Amino acid sequence: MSEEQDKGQKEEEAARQVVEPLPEQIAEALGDRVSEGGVLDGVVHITVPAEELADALRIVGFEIENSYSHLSDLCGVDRADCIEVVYHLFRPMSDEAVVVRVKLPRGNPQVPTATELWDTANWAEREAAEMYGVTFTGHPDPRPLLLPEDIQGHPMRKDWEYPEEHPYLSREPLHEDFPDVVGRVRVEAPPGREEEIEE
Amino acid sequence: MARAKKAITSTIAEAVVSIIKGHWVTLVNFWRPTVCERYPHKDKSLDYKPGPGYKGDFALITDKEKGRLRCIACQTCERSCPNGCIRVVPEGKGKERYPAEFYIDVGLCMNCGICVEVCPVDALTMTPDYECSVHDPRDLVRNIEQLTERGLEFDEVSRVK
Amino acid sequence: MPVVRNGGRRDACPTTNSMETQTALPTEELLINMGPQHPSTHGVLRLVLTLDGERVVEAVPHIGYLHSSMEKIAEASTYQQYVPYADRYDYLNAMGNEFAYVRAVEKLCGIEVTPRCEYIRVIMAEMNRIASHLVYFGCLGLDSGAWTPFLYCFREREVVLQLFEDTSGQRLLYHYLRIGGLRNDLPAHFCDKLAEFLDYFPDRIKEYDDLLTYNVIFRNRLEGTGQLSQELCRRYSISGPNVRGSGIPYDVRRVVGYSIYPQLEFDIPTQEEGDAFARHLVRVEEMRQSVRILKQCLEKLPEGEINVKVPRKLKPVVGEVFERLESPRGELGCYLVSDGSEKPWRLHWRAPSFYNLQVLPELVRGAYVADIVIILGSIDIVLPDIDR
Repeated sequence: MSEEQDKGQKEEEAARQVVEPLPEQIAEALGDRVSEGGVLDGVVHITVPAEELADALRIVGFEIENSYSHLSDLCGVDRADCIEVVYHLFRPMSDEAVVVRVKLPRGNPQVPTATELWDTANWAEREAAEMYGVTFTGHPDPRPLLLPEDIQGHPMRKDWEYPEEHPYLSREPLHEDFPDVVGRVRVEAPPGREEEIEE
Repeated sequence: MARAKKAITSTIAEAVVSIIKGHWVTLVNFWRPTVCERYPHKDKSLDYKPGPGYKGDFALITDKEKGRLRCIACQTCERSCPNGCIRVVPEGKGKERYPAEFYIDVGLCMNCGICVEVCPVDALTMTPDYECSVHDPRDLVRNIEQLTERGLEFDEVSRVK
Repeated sequence: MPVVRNGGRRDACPTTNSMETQTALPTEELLINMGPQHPSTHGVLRLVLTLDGERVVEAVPHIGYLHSSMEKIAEASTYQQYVPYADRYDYLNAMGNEFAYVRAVEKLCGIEVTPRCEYIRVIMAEMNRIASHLVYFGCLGLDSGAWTPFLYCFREREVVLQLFEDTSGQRLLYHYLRIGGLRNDLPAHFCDKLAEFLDYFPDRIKEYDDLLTYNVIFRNRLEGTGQLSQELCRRYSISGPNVRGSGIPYDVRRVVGYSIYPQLEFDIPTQEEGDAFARHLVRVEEMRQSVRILKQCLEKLPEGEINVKVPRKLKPVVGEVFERLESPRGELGCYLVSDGSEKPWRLHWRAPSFYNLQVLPELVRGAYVADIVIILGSIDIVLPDIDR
């Protein structure tokens, strides 16, 4: 890659990072509930503290004019220094988006539930809860969703480690030339049938 | 919005028409050529032959002029495999570098074809073999002898034309 | 009383002869486990049903049997290595998933692909939509007791899959799209074969309609079953043909207008009724619209390069992107967070089936047990898409 191209790309990158101020409508409605906010690539990003989240979601999702009432996605993100919960809201029948995020401490992340506003947040919150250990206070059905009941820890966290022992998966390599390929389903002959398999 | 309720006479009429139409469609399809095939055939030559570019089993291509494998044991395929199912043991230095051992665990492979694409010397190819089932998963690990023997049929990497 | 079967079933419980017989006989609710190994749950879905006689009082779905850590795998593989994994969770829409992931990475890196590449990608996505809706059509027939349409649908799907195999080398999990391009150009016979298929396929759809859609037994079974109101759609973020069956013309292809869709002419089919039959009609009409899109694409398909140069060690800028696409099941989203290294920091799939399935307890409440199968079939879920 030539130097000029390299320079051009760097400028382009810098241009992509420019943050514009929040649109007036949202800034006025939310007031000082927003701790960080801006428009990047046409998408409104808002960061709110956990205690203001319920209010902020209600205002952005339902109270302002032309509200962003389509909850497209809800997920957790491990940001190394904190756990984030990200809400992707869209205006119905349009591509205008607001990304609401809340930063939580790694120790005991707690955030109010959004199931009162959108029923669809139910499963998404259950998934985020088991994957990242976030407690959604007031959730109507806080059971684990996808993972088995006996799993230790929260597997989508970056510091989660593969358990040493597993009832179905073997830590021993199947083939001597693939020593680090482990975690396959055990291939052991049932008792009394070893010879049958050997043949 | 609920649907309007219908009178019983029109329901009966509709039922008769739809049954006749349905039978007509099955009758038309009865005369169409069959698309199902019996498999496996006793005569292997009748089996389906995939076209070029099919992502099946693996083979290492031999450079017939030099009488040795094309592979230079650069291990690019090993590093770029998403599942880590390739192991190459290189031997020799510089231009004399060659693979002493070459293992592909087909049981772990997901036939994505990345290894074939990243190969700088086009030494690895995927074959149209699709019958790979064995009784023991340990038999699914291909070694360099098997790969070389299968590759004798190939002069070039199998690609879509 | 034939009218009772036609529409008005969910309005009230059937009146018994007298209240006395009801109170005299002791009744209690019955807990029944449906699945995970059940032929009509379209995979390994488990429903715990509370029944009052033949009617459902409460249904609780249990999912997670096919959980395969697709999002954790993404954090351990490079951007290029993850593309084949994107196929593997919604296997009926493999091309569409690749399309979503590849578009997200390209948006993050600022890569522009060539026009021919965009056209081929849209051709693949629409062909996959036809194949996916054919599976839906056949399976809904199976769920309602009609075996023949399933065979006919799979015969037509075979043509599409054969074209995919000739192009990408695989029948179901293609790994055809690459970041910045495609695996290879279309094979020489592709356009002729596809044009031939597009010529006769609309007639075949008409045959299926005659055989199944307008069959009175099938209609009576579907009409009024699984009534999905617009309010439910809003609360549960329903998308895809399900929301269009309730009269909301929400289609991401039109709303976002990604790729070359703004240059193509197609309609968004909607139905007002919101029951299983309305959703069925929307999907059948969508196959016709896909044929229309494919014909335009073949006509306009430009010549030229398919790949742009992308560095092998792809390192996007620090940032995040949420890319939405219309999959056959609804709004498919790919949320990608980059920390500037070779591997994605976080990848999250907004899986359409995951959000659409949540509404099932609302739809089956008060329905007959036999209708659960129909309602589930008409929502059109793919279980690996839910569990990921």
